[in-house]
Amino acid sequence: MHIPDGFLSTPVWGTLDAVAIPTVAWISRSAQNSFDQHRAPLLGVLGAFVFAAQMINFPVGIGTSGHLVGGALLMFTLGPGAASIVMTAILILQSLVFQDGGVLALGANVCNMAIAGVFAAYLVQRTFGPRRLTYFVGGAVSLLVSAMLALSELLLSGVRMPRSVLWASVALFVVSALVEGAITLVVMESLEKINPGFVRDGGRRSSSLIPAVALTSFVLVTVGFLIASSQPDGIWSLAARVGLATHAQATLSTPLADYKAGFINQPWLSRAFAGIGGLCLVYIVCWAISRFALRRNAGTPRSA
Amino acid sequence: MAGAFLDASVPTDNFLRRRDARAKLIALLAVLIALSLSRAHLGALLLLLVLPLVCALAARLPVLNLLRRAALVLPFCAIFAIFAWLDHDRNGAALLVIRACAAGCNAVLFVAVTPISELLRALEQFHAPRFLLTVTQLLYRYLFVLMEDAQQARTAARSRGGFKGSFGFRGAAGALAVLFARSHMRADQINQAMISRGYNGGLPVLHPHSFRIADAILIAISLTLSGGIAFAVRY
Repeated sequence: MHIPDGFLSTPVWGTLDAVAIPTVAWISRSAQNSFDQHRAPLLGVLGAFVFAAQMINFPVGIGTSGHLVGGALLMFTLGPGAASIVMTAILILQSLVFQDGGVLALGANVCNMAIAGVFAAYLVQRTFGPRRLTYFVGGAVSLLVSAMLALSELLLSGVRMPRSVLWASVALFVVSALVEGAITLVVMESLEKINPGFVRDGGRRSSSLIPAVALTSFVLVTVGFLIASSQPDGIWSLAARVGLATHAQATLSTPLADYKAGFINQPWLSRAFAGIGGLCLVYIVCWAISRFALRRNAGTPRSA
Repeated sequence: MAGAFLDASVPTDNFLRRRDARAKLIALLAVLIALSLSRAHLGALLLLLVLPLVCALAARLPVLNLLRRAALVLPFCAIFAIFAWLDHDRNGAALLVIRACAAGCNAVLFVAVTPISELLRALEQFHAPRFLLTVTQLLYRYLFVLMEDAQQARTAARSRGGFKGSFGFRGAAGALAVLFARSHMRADQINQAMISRGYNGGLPVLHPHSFRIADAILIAISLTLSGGIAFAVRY
């Protein structure tokens, strides 16, 4: 899952580096504020633990074994911000000291594993709360999102991969995700037995619906375009058959028209950018409307 | 200790080792960007592959060791190169392998002449988040200690027959949980020891390099070379 240098095209690594740098800076500042700075040794030593934990192989049958990746485990024990920082530190050292992952591709690897992977596990925890299913699903989803993002970025960069191999890779990632989920589950159970204080409950659960929808949207918008059909939808198909489609005219030209970012030539990158951009825009609009509505309600005196 | 190996492999008496880490980091990024911009030009890629080897020879570094470490990327890129080869794109397969090896050689050369403490100091001077850098430095410092702990746990498990049978999965999980608990305990002890020695959230560098004219020349050469290659492959 660690992408080396030389694989990603300049627009892909450039965009992901540009996303990763401010995001990590913001997470670092947030984590520093919420986490006592004097406890930095804890984060450093637990990062070293994840490295060391990868030396312990788990038997998964048929003469094969797997090992922990650790993003979800760190999230369940440290919280999302601190886990992202520890994963980023791990990726920096893996890239610069162990040649596992590229230097220019560091932004991509950070986005995949330290930001998206940890965030996916966090959304699972917010959805299901502290229970056994959370650990399994969190570990599996975290790894699957990271792996699928890495695969998508390679494809966007023009790395050749036959369709059969692509699906075999996806199947392999699903198996790896299940193994990661199982390892995360049994390690978390063991940790709870040793000291329940090691496990964070993920804070107050206001509603499981919102994080569930957010998680689904995030997975769909990041990896869904890989399996999306290129055929037109029902209305467009009908319009094409009766000859109406040729008469259609846009009254206003927008940068994300037809669910594509017009300024990007690569078709998949264009769709992915439009998807993520659309998700962010919808979130900002809904957030602004809800803030406005709440402020109006707060200003309106209630009748007795 | 195994951890001493990486730092011990860094020589202290060559012209690259004496350069400021900021200059070396800028030079590395310039070369890697040139490599990315000339991804389909064999001549440019070969030049950027040979360049770190020549620098390593001039700096009296063990070139074979450098190549061996750079070759770690080969298993990953071999898979994709085979796909391209099977797809009758032999040129693309060769370019992919050369590109990945060139990037690996440049990164390994950088690491071989830049101790991690100087690298992290350079990143701090480039305004990277201090909290992240402190965590990274502590992670590096205790990495090999915990790897030895994990190695001992694995040896102990092997001496009892290994993680096999129906108990295998849970046994391995238990070993990991114990390693986690030990790490947690060790972190608390390290924290108390550091606070007692006046730790205030940052780790100072004892002998930081100062930026000299030779560092500016290194930056100028790398930017000129990289810019020239990028320009040449475009026009």
